[in-house]
Amino acid sequence: MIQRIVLVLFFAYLLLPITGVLHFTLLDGTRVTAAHYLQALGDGEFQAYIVHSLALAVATVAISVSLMTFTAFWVHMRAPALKPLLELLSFLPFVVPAVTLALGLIEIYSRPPLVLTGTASLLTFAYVVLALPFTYRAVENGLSAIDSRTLSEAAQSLGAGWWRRFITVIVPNLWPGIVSAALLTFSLVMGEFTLALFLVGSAYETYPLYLNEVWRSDPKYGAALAILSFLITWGSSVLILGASRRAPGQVQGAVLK
Amino acid sequence: MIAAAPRDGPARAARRARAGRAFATGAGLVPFGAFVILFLLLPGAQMVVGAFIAQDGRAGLANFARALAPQYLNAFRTSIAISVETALVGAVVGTVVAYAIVHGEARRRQAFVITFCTVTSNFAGVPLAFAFVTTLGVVGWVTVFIQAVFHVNLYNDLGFAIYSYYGLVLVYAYFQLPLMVLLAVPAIAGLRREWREAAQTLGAGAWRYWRDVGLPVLAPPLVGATALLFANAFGAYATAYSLSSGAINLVPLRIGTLINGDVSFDAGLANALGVGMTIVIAAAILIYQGANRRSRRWMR
Repeated sequence: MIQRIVLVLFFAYLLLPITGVLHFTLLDGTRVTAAHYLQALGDGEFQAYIVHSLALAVATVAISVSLMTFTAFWVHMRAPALKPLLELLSFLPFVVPAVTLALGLIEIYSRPPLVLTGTASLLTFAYVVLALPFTYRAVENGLSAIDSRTLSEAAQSLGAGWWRRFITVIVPNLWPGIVSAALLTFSLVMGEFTLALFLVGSAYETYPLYLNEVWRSDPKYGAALAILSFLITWGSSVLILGASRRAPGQVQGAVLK
Repeated sequence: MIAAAPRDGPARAARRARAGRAFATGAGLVPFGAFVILFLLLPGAQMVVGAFIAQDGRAGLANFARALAPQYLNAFRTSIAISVETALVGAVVGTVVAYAIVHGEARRRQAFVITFCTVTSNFAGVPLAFAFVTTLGVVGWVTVFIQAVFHVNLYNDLGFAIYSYYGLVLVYAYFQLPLMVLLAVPAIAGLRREWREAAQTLGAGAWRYWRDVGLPVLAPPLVGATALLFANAFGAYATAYSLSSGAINLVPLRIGTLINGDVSFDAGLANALGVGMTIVIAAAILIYQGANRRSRRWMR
């Protein structure tokens, strides 16, 4: 009973702020309206920026998932001694403040030999770094759960080469974890503000940056756009849940520790 | 990697094969290594080195001397205070929630709750700030509701403000709490039923069990989790930026002003503050690591 009350209060707290946004955007005086939401349909800027964010999210997911799956499997099979190092490097971005990461990146990539500030590629690379802890956890949990060594050796005894083992045996077995990590990374990038502000700003404006601008000029519309953020977040949760159902125990894969 | 020529002798061939294998193993690590070096380690190194280069280009401690000015020391005090407070609140409440999730009837819905926590713990920044302003701002519905029902105005009568320090504490708690739940659930689930039964067989009551078994086993992972929560709040930027527009004196906001403004641009000072942040966070991680090492003994 007490446990149920605790959980209800917990969820009430997590849902409370959303009620504020809904109340604020759906009511004009006492009249219910969807006008602030429909405004987005005719807003070319919004459409352009959400495409920017989607492009960044897809690129980040593609790079981070392939890089981490490959590297984690490689270390698992060929250099298990390096696992603690990989673990440490993949944990670091979780505690490095975004603003200090931005600081270092700006200083290095705003002068030759490699000028990248203001480009979508620098932001994508920074996001891959940001996603490392999640992707690594998901892949690593999967690798230790499936006894990848035995699987891989079995495939090898049947004559499968390294790449073939990786693509046709290991990746399908890690798939639920990979999907969870991908969705989490996706939702991370769709909401990321700090690195976008400092690394590219208006040169490649993203959805969260636009949200912040609109909020200051047209609060009702800004709040309506914020609801979209919540929907992306929740949509991702539901999909992660769906992915993890297929492999019981894998839901922890999306969890940090 | 393939066999060496026979005339080399077996020892030499083996050495060469080993070297070849090490080389091949290293090759597979190049993409990840390059990535981490270019976009994580190099920027970090740049920040540290840059902190020691003064505005006139000479090496020295001038940036650190400037970073010790009262407004920056104050920023560190405020940042540390808000991180400690939200970490402690998050840790206590999060542990209770995690306990309810592990031992409550909601066990079947555990996967849902955990997934929900994973995503909400990353839900911070601009939209979260709006959400709290529209809920508990001057004309937020909860503020208006409390005024109408209890005739108490949160702002005029109680001195509350969502844009203030305690407003920010409330907002930070929103992402700290689910993070704590995520970190505490495995620890609490790791308390084995057999331990409790063993304690009971030996005549220990509930209090005795918690004092001698439960808490000693749980304390390290929970302390470690609290340290992570601290680091999490200490580095947060977007939420504070969009909520307070810089009205609250926090280190990340100070650094942001120093690297974003045209007039105030001062990379050297920003680097010095960044090094200061890194030291504080490193201390938190040492606590986390130490706690982790202790908890590994029990959590298998």
